[in-house]
Formats: sequence, C-alpha cells, structure tokens
Amino acid sequence: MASKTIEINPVTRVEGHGKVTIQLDDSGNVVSARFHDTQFRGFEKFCEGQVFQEMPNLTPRICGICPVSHQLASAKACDAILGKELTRPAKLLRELLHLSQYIQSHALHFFHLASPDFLLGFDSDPATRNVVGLIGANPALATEAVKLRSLGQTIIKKLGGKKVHPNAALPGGMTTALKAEDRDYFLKQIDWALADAQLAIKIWKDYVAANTAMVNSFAKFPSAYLGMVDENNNLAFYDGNLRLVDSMGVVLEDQFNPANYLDIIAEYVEDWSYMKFPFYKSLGYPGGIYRAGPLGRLNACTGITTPLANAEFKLYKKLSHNGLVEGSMYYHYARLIELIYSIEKTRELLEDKDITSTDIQVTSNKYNEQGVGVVEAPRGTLIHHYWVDETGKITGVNLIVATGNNNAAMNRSVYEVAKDYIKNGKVTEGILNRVEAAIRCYDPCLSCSTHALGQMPLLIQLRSTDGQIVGRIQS
Amino acid sequence: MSFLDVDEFIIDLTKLVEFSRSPITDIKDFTPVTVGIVEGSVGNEEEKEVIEELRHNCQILMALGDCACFGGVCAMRNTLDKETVLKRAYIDTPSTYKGKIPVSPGVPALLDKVYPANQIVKVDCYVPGCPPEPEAIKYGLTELLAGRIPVVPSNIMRFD
Amino acid sequence: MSEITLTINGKQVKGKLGDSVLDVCQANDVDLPTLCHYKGLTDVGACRLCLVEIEKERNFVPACTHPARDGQVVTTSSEKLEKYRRLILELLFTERNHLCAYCVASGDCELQSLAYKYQMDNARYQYAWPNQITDSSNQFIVMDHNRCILCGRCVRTCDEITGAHALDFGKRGWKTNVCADINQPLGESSCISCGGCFQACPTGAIFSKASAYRGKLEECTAVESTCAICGVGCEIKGLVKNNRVVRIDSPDMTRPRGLLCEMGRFEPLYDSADRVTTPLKRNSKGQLASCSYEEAFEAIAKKFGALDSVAGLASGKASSEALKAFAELMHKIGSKFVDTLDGDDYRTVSQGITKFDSKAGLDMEAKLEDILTADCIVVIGAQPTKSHPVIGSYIMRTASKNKAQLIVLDPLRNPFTFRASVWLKPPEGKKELAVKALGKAILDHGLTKATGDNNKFSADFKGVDVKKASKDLGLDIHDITKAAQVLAESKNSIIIYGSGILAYKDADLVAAILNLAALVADKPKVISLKRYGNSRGAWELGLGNPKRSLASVLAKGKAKGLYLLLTDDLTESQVLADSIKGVEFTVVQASYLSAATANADIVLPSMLWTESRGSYTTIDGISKKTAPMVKAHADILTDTVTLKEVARHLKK
Repeated sequence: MASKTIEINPVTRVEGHGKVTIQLDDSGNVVSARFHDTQFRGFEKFCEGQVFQEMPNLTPRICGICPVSHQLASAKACDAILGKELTRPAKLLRELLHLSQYIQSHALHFFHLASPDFLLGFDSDPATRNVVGLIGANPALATEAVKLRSLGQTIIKKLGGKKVHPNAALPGGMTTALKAEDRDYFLKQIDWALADAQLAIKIWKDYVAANTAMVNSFAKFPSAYLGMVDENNNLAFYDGNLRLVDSMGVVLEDQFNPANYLDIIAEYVEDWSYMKFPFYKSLGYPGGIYRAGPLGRLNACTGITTPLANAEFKLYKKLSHNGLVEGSMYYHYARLIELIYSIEKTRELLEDKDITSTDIQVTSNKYNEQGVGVVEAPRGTLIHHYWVDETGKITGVNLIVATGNNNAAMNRSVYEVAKDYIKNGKVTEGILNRVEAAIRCYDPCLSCSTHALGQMPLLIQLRSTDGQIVGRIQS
Repeated sequence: MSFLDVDEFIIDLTKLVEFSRSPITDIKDFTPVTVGIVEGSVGNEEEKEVIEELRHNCQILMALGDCACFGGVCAMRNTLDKETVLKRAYIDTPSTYKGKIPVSPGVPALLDKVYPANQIVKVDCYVPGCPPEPEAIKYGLTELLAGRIPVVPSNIMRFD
Repeated sequence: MSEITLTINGKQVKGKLGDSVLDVCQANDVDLPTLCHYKGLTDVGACRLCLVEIEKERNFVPACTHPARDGQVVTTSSEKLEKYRRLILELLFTERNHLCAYCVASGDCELQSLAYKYQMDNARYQYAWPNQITDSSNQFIVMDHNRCILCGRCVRTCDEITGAHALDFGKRGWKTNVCADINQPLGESSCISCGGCFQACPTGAIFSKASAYRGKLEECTAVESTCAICGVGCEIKGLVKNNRVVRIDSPDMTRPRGLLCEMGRFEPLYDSADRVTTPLKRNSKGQLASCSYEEAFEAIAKKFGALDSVAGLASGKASSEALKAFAELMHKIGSKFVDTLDGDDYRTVSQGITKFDSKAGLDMEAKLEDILTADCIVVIGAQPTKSHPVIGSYIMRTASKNKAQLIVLDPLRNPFTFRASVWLKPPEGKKELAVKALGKAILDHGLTKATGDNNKFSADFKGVDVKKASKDLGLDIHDITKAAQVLAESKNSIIIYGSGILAYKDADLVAAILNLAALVADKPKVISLKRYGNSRGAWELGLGNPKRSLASVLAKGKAKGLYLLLTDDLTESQVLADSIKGVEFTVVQASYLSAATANADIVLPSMLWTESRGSYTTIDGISKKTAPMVKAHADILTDTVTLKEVARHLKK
C-alpha cells in the first residue's frame, strides 16, 4: 500500500511536458513509478478534411525540435499516395535534410539538455545545472555547441526557407534546390563539426571513466530493439526496412517492409498517460516492449557505412558480450555515434554531383487510397499513415511517433532508477534529478509523442549590467 | 525549444538576465519575476492552472508563438468536440489495442476548447510566429530590457 | 471625360468623372488598404477597409463604391480610421480559422500582409472556430472555406470575367459561405476550372493542388509568354522556380485574352506522360534504344534516301518556325504528300469556303473579340467551353452581361445552353438540314438583310421546306422560326462552329453555314474553331493538304516512309499509331512517349511549348510568340534545329 507519492512536475530539460509520480511503501521504498505525458492535441482527428498536399507542412507542428522528421515521414506517405518514384537528386536532398535534422537535434540534446548533468554533476545546484550554467562554466564549449546546432539548422534553412518548420519536402520531391555556393560553404564546415562531435564523445568517455559503476547500472534492463537498416543491415535513417531483435539478439523481424507496420506494431493505452504504448504484437503487452532511438538502432543494426562512426560503433558493440547494450545511459553514447555518422554522411551527400540539380520534383493528379511514410526520427521510428479519398482529401490519419516507441522503456527506466536510489524514504533533489535523467537518456519529444504541444512557461528575472536585479518595469 | 534559435544571443542574454522556471532549467517552481514568457495555448486544466500561476508571478507576461497569441495549430481541435478527438486517438486508430480514453489523476482533463493565452489571463505583449523569427524574439527581449513594452515591427513579424 | 479636382489629405489631386474615390486615390499614389477590391471587377464595399472620411458626409464611406466628385475633401487616415482598420482585421481573423502556420498562401496573402502592416499580434474578440469544410472535389482547385473572408472576388470573377457564374454566396449573416451552383461540390458544379477564382483570391482559401508549396512569389522568376495550346493565344505569366513552372497566372485577367483556362493554367504543371529524352533507334532486337543524334540523323538520311515516296504529317501544335523547317525538309526529300494532323478539318473548311466564295469566305473570319460586342451569337456544333474555354467564356459573358441573344444548334448540352434564346437540338447527322431550315425560314419570312447577289446565298436553302424539315428533325417549327427571327433582326451577329460540324468532313455543311451568315448581315462574321494552337499557322504555311488525307495515300501504297512532326501533341490516337504500322520507315519527332512513338523506327526528342521560343497564329489570324519558361531537362535540340539537321544529312 503506497503511503507516499513523490511528484516531479514538470520534467525539465526535455522537449514537451511530462511529470513523474513515484509511489513509496510504508518503509519509504519504491513500489512503482510512472512517467505521465500530460499533453494532448488530436492530430489524428483534426487532420481529417485537409488535402494531403498540406500534411508535410501541417504535421511538423507536432514538434518544435524535430519538425523535419515529421515533414519527411509525411512527404514519404504522400509520395506513396502519388505512387511516383522521386528523382535521384530529390532523394539526395531529402536525406541531406534529414541528416541536418540529426546534427541539429542530437547536438541540441547532448550539449544543451544532457551535458549539464555530466559536466556540472547530477547533484549540482539546480539553479545553474542547465545550459545557462554551462555557458558560464565553459563558454568555449557552449559556443561550439551553438555553432554545431546552427550548422544543421542553416542547411535546413537553405532547403526550406526556415530553420524550424521549413517548407522543404513536398509530395513528389523537394521545394528548393541546393545552390553550388551553399554546397561549397557547407563542405567547409564538416571538419570542425566532426571535431565538435569527437569532443562530445570525449566528454562522455571521461564521464564514464569517472563513473563507470553508476553508468553501467543506471536503468539497465533487457528489451527488444527496433531500428531501420539498409539492405545490408547497416544503420539507415531515411529509407530502408525495419529490423527488430530481442534481448538475446534473436532477429524477430528481418528486412521488414515498414509500410506493413500494422502487422507487427500495436499501441496500448493506459489511464494515466496521454502517450500510448507501442508494442510488438506477437509478444503482446507488456512482453512486446522494445526500445527505439539511438540505442535501439545501434543494437538492431550490424554496421555503419561511414568510417569514423563505424570505428566508434565497433567499440560500442564491445560493451556487451552479445553486442546489445542494455544500460539506458548509453543512449547518450549511441546518440553521439549517430551524430558522427550524420556529419560524415552529410559530407558524402554534399560531394555527390547530383546534389545541386534542379530536377527535384515529380507530380501526378492520380492518387492511391493510402500511403505510409516511415523514417527514423532522432528519437525513434516515426510512422505517418494517411488515407485519402479520390480528390486527395484526408479521411484518416494514424501516427506512431518516435518517442512513443520508448514510452514503456522510459517508465521502466524511471522505476529502476527510483528503486535504486530512493531507500527508506530518503529523497534529495539530486536523486530526483537522476530520475529525470533516466528520461533524458531517451531524449524524449513529449509533444511529438502525444501529437500535442503544451505550455512551456518561461520566467525571466531581469538583471542590469552591474548584476543588480532591475526594479519594476511599468507597463 | 525554438527559443534556443536565437543562437549566440542566448549567451549575451545570460549576462543580462536570470532564468527561473523553464524547460531548459531545473527550477520547478514559480518565483516572482519581472517577465514571464508563455509558449503554447491552454487546452487542459493543468495548463490553465500553470498560466494563471505564471500570470500571478510575473509583472509582464509575453505570449510567444502563434499558439499563445492566436490559438494556432493547437486550437485546431476547436472545430470538433473533444470527445470525438479523444475517441479517434485512443480508441479508433487501427494500431490502438484495447483502447480507452485516459482518465486519471495522472492526466489533466481537457478543456472543451483550446484558448490563446489572452483569453485566460491578461497578456502584456506578443511575439507571434510559428516559430517566431529569432529577430523578433531578440527584439522583444531587448525592448523589455530597455524598459519598454514591445510591439513587433511589421518587417520581422510573421505568422508562419 | 470630365476632369475633377479633389483634396485628399490636404493635397489637391485630379480625377475624372465616373471615378470612385478609390480610383482617384490609386491614381495619385495615396495609400488605402483594400481586400474586396480587384482591378477590373465591380466594386462592392464588402470589407470596409477603405473607409474614408469625406467632409459633409454623415458617416465614413467606402472609397471603392463612393463616387468621386469635384471639390470633395477627403481624409484617408486618422486615428479613428486606423483603429477601425485594425478592428476589421481582428474580426476577420476571429471569424474563421486563419492558420497561417501551414497555409499554402502564407507570405503571399493580402490578409496576412495587412495584419503585419497593422502589427496585429493578437485579437481581442472571441474566436468563432466554425466547422468549415475544404472542398477538394475539383481536379485542380481546392476551396478551403476556413480561410475565406467572403470578399467575393471569386464570385465576381466567375460572373464578370469567366461568365459562368458558378460561384455565389449562400446563406446569410455569419453563416454566409461561397457556394458553387446550388451548394454543390465545386467538382460537380458548372465550374469550368478556369482558375480565375484562384488568381483573384486574396488568401489561401482557393489554391491550386499543383502549385501548393512549390514557391512563394518572391522566390520565383516571372516569364511573360503566350499560351500555345488551343489557338486563342492568351497572354500568360509563368512563375518559375528551380526550372519548374510553379504557377501560370494572367498578367491581367480583365483584359481580352487575359482569362486563361484549365488547359493553359493547370495542365502544364503536371508531368503528363514520360518524356522522350534522347533520340531512339531500333536495336538488333528490334527494341527502341537510346542513340546519339548523329546516329539517328545518319539512319534517317540513309533510309529516306532509299525510299521513293516519303510522306510528311505535322501537328498543329508545332510552332511556325518548326513547320517552316518541316516544309523545307519535306521539299528536299521530294515528298509528294504533306498534311497536318487536322488535315480533314482543313479540307472541310477550305473547300467549304471555296464553295461559298473564296474571297468573301476568308473575309468573314472574325476576331475573337467580336464575340464580346455581338448582339447575337450562334453556336453550331461546338463545345467551346471544352475545346477553347476562353471563347466559351466570351460567349457566356456576352450573353449574360450584354444580354446578347444566344442561339445554339447542337444536340449536346453546353454550360451556356441555359442562357440560349433558342436551343435547337437536331439529331446527329442532320445538322446540315437544320442549318438550311434556318436559312429557309429567314427567307420565308422575308428577314434576309443581305444585299447584292441574293440568289447566290439563298440558292442553298431554296429547296428546303421548313415545315417538312422541322418534322424530319423532330424540332418545333416555332423554335426554328424564332431562331430565324432573332438572328435576322440582330445588328451584329456572329456564328461559331466547331468540331461537331467538322467531324462530318462535309464541305457543303460549312458552305451552308457561311451562306446563313451572309444571309443575315452585310459584314457577316464567322469563327471556325480550329483544333490546335497553331492550326491556322500550319494551314497558312500550306501544310494542309488540299485534296487528300494520309489514310487515302497509305491505302494506295503511296507512302513508304513517313515523317511525323508531333512536338508536344499528346495524341492518344490509336488510328494514327496503327496507320504508322503500315509504313516501312517512320520517324516521329515528339516530346512524349506514346502509341505513335512505340511504332516508330526512329524517335527524335522535342521541346514543349513551355520550353521553347516560337511563333503561333491564333484562330483569328494573330501571330503571337512564346518565351521559354523553363529549360528542357535533357540535352535536346530545338525542333527547328532538329529538322534542319535531318535536311542537312540528306544526300544532296
């Protein structure tokens, strides 16, 4: 019988709005813990009645961090409705757009959201344990972080007019070609970007070296793993088939056509969260829980096609006897490996002769009844499924959103960490921060996962240049 | 998070302001401040409480983004009734298994409609956009720092 | 034209009697916001943004509908007026669901621009959040009522310019909605998809599926050109981004040939079929495979050199420059048979004119704008809103606005038959009798106005008994008589005939129509609707064969080789494709792969009219030019250069 409930509300340094409740028994030990997503918006209903051409511009509003992932999954679903193959240059640009998103998103997560814990410490003063504190403690690092994120955002802006909610991908192709001078400029940024990513890896490795036991036991549990792969089972973000392996490494689904996702994935609903719980149908719920996102993808694939990332990937695989890494904290490592891959692959695309072509659109005025678009968003497998009538009007929408794949895993992680650290009713702010850190491993996008956006109030205290708090401002 | 798109300006900002509760800091409680910024619209009970508490704790409230200023995409469910929308998401989609509409203390109840900030509390200034132009955010904050209530100039105002 | 002087914002300005206050403001660079105003359409004063203060007027008045008068003292801006303008914008934004975030028109929206101008960063009114629908039933155009501000520009364009009046307002008050016909889905209504409403719409309420999100106006290059599709020769403005036409607008819809239609506005935006991107030649397996231009030219020269009879067939879609080069090539080959794809039409029309009177017949050919000033329009065997929609619009507009009498002679319904004073529906195959009965009825009632050699025209009709004919045709004799009366009493009639007549390949029928025209007017006017954008150009260059068709030549075995200049004519004609099979060696010069290219021995690529510079002669004889809007993706030669190269490779 739970005698006390601890609430962490809101969970901070994550995108979106959520809270954690922890139930303690009479002796102050953890009985259960839950991660509640408290937002709901209703995209799966209010998108009905739009014409499908609008979806790649409407659905990015699901999220402010990964709008590009939604635009791409949406555009792919619309491509399937058009039933036409894209031109080669269009495919290259789609992938370039996607990689830029990864650079931006993974850099943001590691540097702005997660690294305060590593660099300043889990138990450090909450008032400064954030990107602002980081700026104060290590301005050079903070500047690099901002630059790296900005690189990804700038490529996105060139391809779609804006950094957030760009208008880049559309059914049948891309809106804007890449100019040669922009391609040349971006190529020149790759080397320092890779250096920044390597720096992040070093920060991570230094932290692990100093905290090995903690890292290895933090939210560690077995699960299945889901990710997209190419025809050789290498890591893939934009196009490919799905691979699902279980906790022993047995391949449950091999080169699975993502368009048939309904055959293998279903979503469970709990009373206490607006986020649904996707699971692998054959194993039921909760037995069919799996993890997606960086850890899931690296556990599910067998290689990475770019050299630096692949070298790091081999080290990653050595962390466990069967190449499946179970500790949730290793999400950060996997994420950084993906960051390196994204930067290397970006260079590869920029060097392709077709990347500046203007032959980037195909059209049709005949539509198929439905289309499924699947990409790997930074946080996990993202599925957009639309049904249309013969005029192209949306009659149905189904979304399985990246972070949602990890809902059950996040709940499990929160429970494991709470259980490990809260004993006999002793709770400190640092312990609660660790519980939140369990969620932060997954870099959740809570707006996405409930296809909702909540309120994110931000308060600012004004201080004058000499450090004094400014007096009242008359309105 | 689009607040972070002001890029390097955030570093300058940290020298001039102190951040209290926010998505990027770990301060969970509201403290009295000069400026409160709210992003997103009000669509459930908890959001209503939060914005009211925010309003209570700040001298100047800024609505940031189309959802806070106008309702925006968040408010698209307003043309339908909330039961229909919930039913589709939690019961009717083809991937939902044994669906039910979440009702519990763990999740805040939806309001019948989704409201822009100024229909719930008094708002002092607005920076619209989806997302707002970083220039407009900078403009708004710079004006506030100078002691003026900002109205975004036409050339950096956007609704998309 | 009487000049007047007003004082606007303290400054003396000039205008003319008949101007509205808005006209005078715009002529003198005085800034006034507007939304429901559209240059060339009737003003209605719906949006109230242009309210101005005029001394001695009791209230503010809308400048767009208020007549300008000599001596008026006008103030266009004051604290109160600016406040009202801001309120109007807030009311508009809260009335419906204006979600700029993802809207196709964001950045190019007049409502949004005004909101930015007035720094409207929030609205103080209750949001209505009405449940409005998006009508996507039309193939090209979407109507999203969430974004509509009820300015009525679409309604007025459809009425005053298109002439279809498919759109109007339904219901009242804040429930008012723009409706198609009796509130039907647009795609099931009398809308002819001309896209005028799309161009006139100030917001994203009406948008084009093919243009959505492909480029904002500021990201596009504007290229002025002429549409080469049907022979009307509308002036167009192509908006191009990344070598792709994003949309095709009219530089000014309210001037003649400014309307555009679905063929010119929307069809070029779609990839109709697979393009021919390189020359193709049959390989050893007999399949068409890519080859170089040199290989193709050599093969043609060799083969044509060896054949004793080569025929030439050109589509009326080709430019005059290409057709000239084609004629020269055929001459060099020594071809004894050249014709156009619409050669049957050519023979029917030219022989019909000859039977009537060569000179007079040609003089009768009217200008399209003559329809706009006609007081009686006769449409015989034509579906102009399908084949030449702008002409269809002219007819509808003149019938509805100028109250011109409309007589339709066709068993098939047209969108404008409901406006007809008389609609005669002769059964198929009996149109000639119907025309003659009409002529005879005119004679019987002494209605003919023709002077001079009466006998010549009336001879055609003399043998007809109107009463008997009406029974034979199953028509009411009173209808025939009424049509005769209306036509004969008109002062400025025009007769339009098209494919429904030409399909009979009967020169006598054409002659009968010309005789009818001559019977009722001193300066008779006739328009024959030719099939292709440059049909007339091809005919005037002598490419129409005066005597026989390709089919007859092939039947006699008189063509061993064939050069088919298709250009971007996406003909689905199986007849043509089959007839190619009967030829020993065929060269097809075409933009698209089709049944015709599938049967060819050599296929040479061709540019689309949107990709090339060329001259085209309109139906009514005006020469117009196209400017290339985009570059063809492949490295292909122009039609003219291709034909000249073939000629050059032939043995001298």
